[in-house]
Amino acid sequence: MNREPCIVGVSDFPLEDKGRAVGEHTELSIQKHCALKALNQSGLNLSDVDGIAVAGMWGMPGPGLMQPNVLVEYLGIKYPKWIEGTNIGGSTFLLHINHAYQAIKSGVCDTVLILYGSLQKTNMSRNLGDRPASYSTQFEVVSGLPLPVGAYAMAAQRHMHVYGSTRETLAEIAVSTRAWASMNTNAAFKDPLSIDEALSSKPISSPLHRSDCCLVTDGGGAVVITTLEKSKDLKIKPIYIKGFGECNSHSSINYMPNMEKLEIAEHSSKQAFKDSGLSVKDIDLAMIYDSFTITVLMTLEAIGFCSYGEGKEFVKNQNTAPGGNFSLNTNGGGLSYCHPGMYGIFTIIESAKQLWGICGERQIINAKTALCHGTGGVLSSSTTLLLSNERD
Amino acid sequence: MEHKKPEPIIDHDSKIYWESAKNNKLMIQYSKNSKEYFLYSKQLISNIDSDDIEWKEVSGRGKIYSFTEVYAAAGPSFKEETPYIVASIELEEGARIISNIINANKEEILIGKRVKVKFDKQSENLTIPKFELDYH
Repeated sequence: MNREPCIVGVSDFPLEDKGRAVGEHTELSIQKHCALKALNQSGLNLSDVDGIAVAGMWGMPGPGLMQPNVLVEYLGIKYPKWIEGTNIGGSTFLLHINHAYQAIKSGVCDTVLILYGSLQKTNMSRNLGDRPASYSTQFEVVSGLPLPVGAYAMAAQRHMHVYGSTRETLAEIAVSTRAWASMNTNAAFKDPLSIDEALSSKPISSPLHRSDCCLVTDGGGAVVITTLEKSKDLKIKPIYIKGFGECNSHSSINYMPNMEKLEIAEHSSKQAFKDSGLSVKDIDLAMIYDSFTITVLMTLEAIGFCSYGEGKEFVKNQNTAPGGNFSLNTNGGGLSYCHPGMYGIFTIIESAKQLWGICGERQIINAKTALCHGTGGVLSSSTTLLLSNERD
Repeated sequence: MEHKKPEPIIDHDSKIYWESAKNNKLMIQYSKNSKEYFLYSKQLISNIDSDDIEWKEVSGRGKIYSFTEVYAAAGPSFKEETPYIVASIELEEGARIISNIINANKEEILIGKRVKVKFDKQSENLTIPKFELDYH
């Protein structure tokens, strides 16, 4: 029996303009809706699911501290053999795929459902303050560092100082991402954005301005993984998991080893490419977590799409926009599509849709191999995932 | 409505930092074995035993490692002060600490600029080590 794990279903939750969830919902009903849609796409039933992975920021303090228990009860999943609730920030869901792969491959379970849901826009639960001044973050919280943006701002400041990137460099990323969003009917912001508009958007935490920051939206998603053997009975073409890696380094930005280099992404991507038979040259599509524009710039360099310091040349002249040389964040990203707080799952969802060729206007022709990258916390954790619609 | 600024949740690993600040002293931790200064994190830095680590007074001088000028305040209690500067300071002794840079012309604040500690008494119970540009 071929136990090779593959993705057979994905879904994201429909949003109104400006990123509010369509209809009346709880974080749980959003996940129910996504689970059902992803299972329907795969042709599997809830009774096939014998593993569950979930992470989110809902229900805390309270039941949300043990989210897998809540979801198994709420959905009515019977006696799962594998449970995963790790939370390392927005990068988490790529890590869930990694761990699910290992569990399925080694025979612990056959079919895993990965879930995420958030109503942070509707509930207005997101703000820059109100974090407890505890553990290693006590010093920055007392100093009034707005989180997470202030931490990314300090990394951006370092990057500009060390490598000579500029606010124009970051604006290139905001503008190209918006151009992709204009082709995603589900995106919160679809109107074109110009470099000048990006540069003149209001300052948030220097050198980052409004256009450098991800959205605050609702949202949710689901991913279904099963064995290649089981996928043979399904109508959907499996997406193969070619490599993955994970790494982390700190909780407070002050303890990031070098604030201008996302070294953990170097580690997680190296791990992902190792034994995959792939290199950066084989990547047709990169879905790189864009919590902020600087996150993308630093990740491109750390993964090796360009060298450290060359990111500013790489993204110049809308190179990553539709029609450019490098397909990046084709759903419109966290900057323009949606950012419900933990965006990572949408890098997987969009990659799978691109590899199935169902992205309509924004479809990358002949896309075979996608790289997903997640960052979590304040450049604290990194996860890389390589997906392909070809087995070899 | 008056908003109260967040106060540190002082614990075993930060107590001496905050206590010594009340006496206008900057103290951080030091590993005798690895000869490295640190604050709060890297507690098993030399992986020997707890006797390896001691608290030491440091000069309070250093350089700006990175900084941000904050326009979107971290909550209502900081709103009146915007824009204000939060910086990561690399101390002469090596460790980095996050605090505010105060009493400075914003144009003069750059990565690499020398700074020195300035103790900012908030109340009988809390003094925050902040930094000023060091022209000497």
